[in-house]
Amino acid sequence: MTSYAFLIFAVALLAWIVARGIREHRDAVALRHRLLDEATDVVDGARLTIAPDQFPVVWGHVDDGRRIKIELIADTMVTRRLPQLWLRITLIETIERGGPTVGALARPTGAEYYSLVHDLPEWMAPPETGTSMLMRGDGRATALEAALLRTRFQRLFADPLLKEVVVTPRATRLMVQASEGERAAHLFLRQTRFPLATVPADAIRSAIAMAKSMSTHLAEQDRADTHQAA
Amino acid sequence: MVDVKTPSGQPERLQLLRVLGPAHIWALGVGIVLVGEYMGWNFSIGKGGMIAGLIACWVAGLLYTCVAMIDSEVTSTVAAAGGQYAQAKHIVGPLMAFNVGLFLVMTYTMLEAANAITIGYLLDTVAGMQGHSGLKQQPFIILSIMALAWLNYRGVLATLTFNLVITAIAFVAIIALFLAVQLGASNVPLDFSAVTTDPLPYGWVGVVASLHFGLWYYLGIEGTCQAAEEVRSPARSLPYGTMAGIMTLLIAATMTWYVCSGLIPWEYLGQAGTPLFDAARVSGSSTLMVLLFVGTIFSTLASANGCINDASRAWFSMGRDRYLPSWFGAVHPQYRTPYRSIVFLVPIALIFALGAPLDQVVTFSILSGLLGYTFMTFNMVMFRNKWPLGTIKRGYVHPMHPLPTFVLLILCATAYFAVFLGYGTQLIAMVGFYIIASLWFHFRRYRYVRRGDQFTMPWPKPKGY
Repeated sequence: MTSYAFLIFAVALLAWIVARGIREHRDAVALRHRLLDEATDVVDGARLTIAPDQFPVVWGHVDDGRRIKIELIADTMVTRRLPQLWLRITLIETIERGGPTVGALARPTGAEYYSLVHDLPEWMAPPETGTSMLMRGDGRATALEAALLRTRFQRLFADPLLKEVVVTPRATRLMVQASEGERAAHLFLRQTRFPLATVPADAIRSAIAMAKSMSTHLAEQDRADTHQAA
Repeated sequence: MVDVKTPSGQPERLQLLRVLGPAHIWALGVGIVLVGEYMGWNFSIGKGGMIAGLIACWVAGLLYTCVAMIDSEVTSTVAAAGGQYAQAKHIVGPLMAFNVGLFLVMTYTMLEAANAITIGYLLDTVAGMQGHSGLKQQPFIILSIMALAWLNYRGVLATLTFNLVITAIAFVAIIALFLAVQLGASNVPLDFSAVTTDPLPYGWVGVVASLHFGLWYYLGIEGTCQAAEEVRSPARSLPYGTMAGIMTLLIAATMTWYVCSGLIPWEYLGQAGTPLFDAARVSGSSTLMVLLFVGTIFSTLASANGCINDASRAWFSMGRDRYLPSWFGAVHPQYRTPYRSIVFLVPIALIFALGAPLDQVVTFSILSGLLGYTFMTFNMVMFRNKWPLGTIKRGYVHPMHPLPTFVLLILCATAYFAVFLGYGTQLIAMVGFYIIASLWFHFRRYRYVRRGDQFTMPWPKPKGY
């Protein structure tokens, strides 16, 4: 009799946990899908899709017609650190610029699988920001270009939320911290749960403004170089 | 990618319920280590008797207090997190970082194997109680490891409710057993006569020998000393959180010792696979038995899950840094998990879980952890010598330096001696493994390491360089 009672209890407990787990997993995924809902109001012609990792991606245009991609990346790869939710903005140029590819990464650990900076071949002196920095390029930057970019990066990375900035002839990309994982959920079961329902529109606008200012600076630099060459 | 409808109207604001207060967070920080109460610690009683087991528990608490103090200071300066692995890269060098990475992987993989063995053993015991003796443990061991590896591979979201249920049951089970026995609910009264009749059956050498398994109570507590990196300053929360965890575990460990030693003869307790569950059996209460069964299963599964996560990420980081083939540094395109590292470590965990007895697997885990704690001692001395106070910003400065370092070193040396007394072959095998791995790294692997990427902190030039 005790055996049957125990068996029934075990099966009932397991069934409850599984049912509850499936239901709450679905809820968590649904919450994830809505994280970039506010981004659709920030850019023109927004198109929202869901990436395979169940995080949303928004494509759209900024006011001058350039295409922009807004993504979220959950980073759980660094041991003994809380999970990070990165907001990645990619501003695509209409006309390819002539400048070099250069990027800077704040607080590098080597485990930033999403970073473009680690893949660039040339090591460059990083800007002084008071925190650890990595700056690398494709080797085409002149000393003057590198110095100007360093100054620019130094200003941008004064914002501690900024993780990475990369400029290429075709686009400007930057990543900022959108949220940090809940400590308890991560410590106990190594889960990735972010305490926000949607990334605020202001945070997205601010990141886009940073990308645009960086892009504008590079365009002005291009014009100055062309003028000087002429 | 899957297209979904773009919301046409104003998006509805969602509010997440803030379920967890500071007390929960503290409790959950301890939760990952709680498995040490459910199994493994009792081998210390087998080494030196009841009193020795209690002394080992308290001395190990002192060792971990030193670990927490030292670790908090260094972690509060290395903003990029990554634990001892990142510390070794910045303070000592690549060979040390390679070794520390291996220590982490081996500690967690062996702990995962120990958890799986416990699950198999417990199910076998329960089946025997139900009249189905001779249950094969291996399928359950394999199933546990494979299922948890799959969850980690997929990056499946566990629920907050699930987390809290598991923690609550594992905690409540120990407290319920303690209270029930105190209130006379046990068929067998508490018996501590062995404390007076046979206080130190193997003398003081037995006390030293028992320190080895005393570490098991707390192994991994330093993992709660996480850098709340990127923006939030880790300065104050690091040492206080970890110290609070150690104090909780000291109390829980003493309670566990009290109940188990009082109910079970020390000769049996010293070799039991599931001491708390066995204590519940002796009490004769079916409710307690079910509670402790569920507590043991949950705590071992939760611990094994955390171990797979941590070991695979340490392996992944070493792959990214080219300390290991960069093939291991890949992230799954869909699930964003270090899937190659997860899969690679599964057979290693299985080999140990299926091929070695619990006490030896526990010993391998403890030894790797111990090597990591030993690294902390000279890492701390080098850190203070290279970057004295005032040269770099420290979120936390541990007091009485170098006293905690010396105490830690002495306790580590004692623990090595303790391991040597009972598991000399395993000690030599483990150290031999790390020496061979270091030689491989130095002569074969180091040429692939991205040396320029190793040091990224904006610290001034170290003193003397």
